[in-house]
Amino acid sequence: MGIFREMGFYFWPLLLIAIAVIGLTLKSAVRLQRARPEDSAQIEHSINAVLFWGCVAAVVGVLGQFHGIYQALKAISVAKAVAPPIIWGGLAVSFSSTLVGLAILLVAALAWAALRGGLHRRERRVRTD
Amino acid sequence: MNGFGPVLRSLSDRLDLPQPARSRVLIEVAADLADLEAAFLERGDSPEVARARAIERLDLSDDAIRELIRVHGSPLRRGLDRLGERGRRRWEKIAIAALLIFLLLGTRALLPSHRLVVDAGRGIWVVLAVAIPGLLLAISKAYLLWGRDEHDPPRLRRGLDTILALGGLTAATGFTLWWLGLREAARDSAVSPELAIAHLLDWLTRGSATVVLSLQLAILLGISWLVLAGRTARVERGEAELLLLEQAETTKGG
Repeated sequence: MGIFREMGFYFWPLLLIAIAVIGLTLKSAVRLQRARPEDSAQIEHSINAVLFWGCVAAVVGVLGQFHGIYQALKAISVAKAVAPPIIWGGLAVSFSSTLVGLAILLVAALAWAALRGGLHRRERRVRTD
Repeated sequence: MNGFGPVLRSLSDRLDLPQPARSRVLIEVAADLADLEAAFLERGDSPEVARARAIERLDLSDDAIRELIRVHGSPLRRGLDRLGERGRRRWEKIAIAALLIFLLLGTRALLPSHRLVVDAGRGIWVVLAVAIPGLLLAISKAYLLWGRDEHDPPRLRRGLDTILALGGLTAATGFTLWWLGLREAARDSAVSPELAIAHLLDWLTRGSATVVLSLQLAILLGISWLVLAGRTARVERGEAELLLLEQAETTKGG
């Protein structure tokens, strides 16, 4: 849980995006199983939303990292002397939000690829039937 | 009423393109037909002859339609259209607005901060030089859409994707400056190794301030594009539906 605490404020938007990505993936998978052939455009819209929100997570994660570095360095500049281990430790912590954002993007991209594959297979099946 | 309804309906049936590309093609072809008709009328043809000659002149063969589909259905165009559709559903609008509010609240100490701009150093002028044209373009498009209630799709579409491109370029500029700053810090540290930590901290402060500002501007431009592209696609669909509706009314009347 340490990595989540380290992200500070950015934990919340990333958590919400992660929930949205999981929800959208499940919703798209269910729709893919149940929908009629004419609903393809709607399903595609819903599948693309998975990747879109994954990309948003990566951008928010990167913004979180640089925001964190900037704030930490402003605090360091006020202090008279700071030991190098604190600086390097702080730098390592700043990567948390980027890593979580990229992890969400990776999961979203994999889910998106799998769902699109499912959609294409379904469309091919409909055409051959 | 443009009087080209039957031709447009037939074209719409033959176009294997998703929305909003289909609407865009119909509007473009309708405009080309109207221009040709006007040219023939100017030459002295009667309205019926001018209309018939315009239809005859505009090549709507299978090959020409395949070319239209190729141009409007390119992977980049399709990708942008899909992205532009993101703000169409209500839940997506709410989610985007919530994210924007979240980010504004989270970075509220940074947004109006004179300190952030000062810390970013000279690099910020390069970031602003890229982002400001994008912001001005977004404001002008928003004025056309909501201020003047413009319904001319080609005019609305012109330059719209430049906003997104400038958003991407703004973020890329921020990251380029970050790496350039590292190079500078490494060179300074080589000259005076005893000040290496000070150079590193200076680079981190300047670089992170530049990246934060460039990402904030890029997100602002990205969301502006999303809102404007969604609205423009709605106008395009409305205009195309109107053109096809005219055909239905012409058929009923005839």
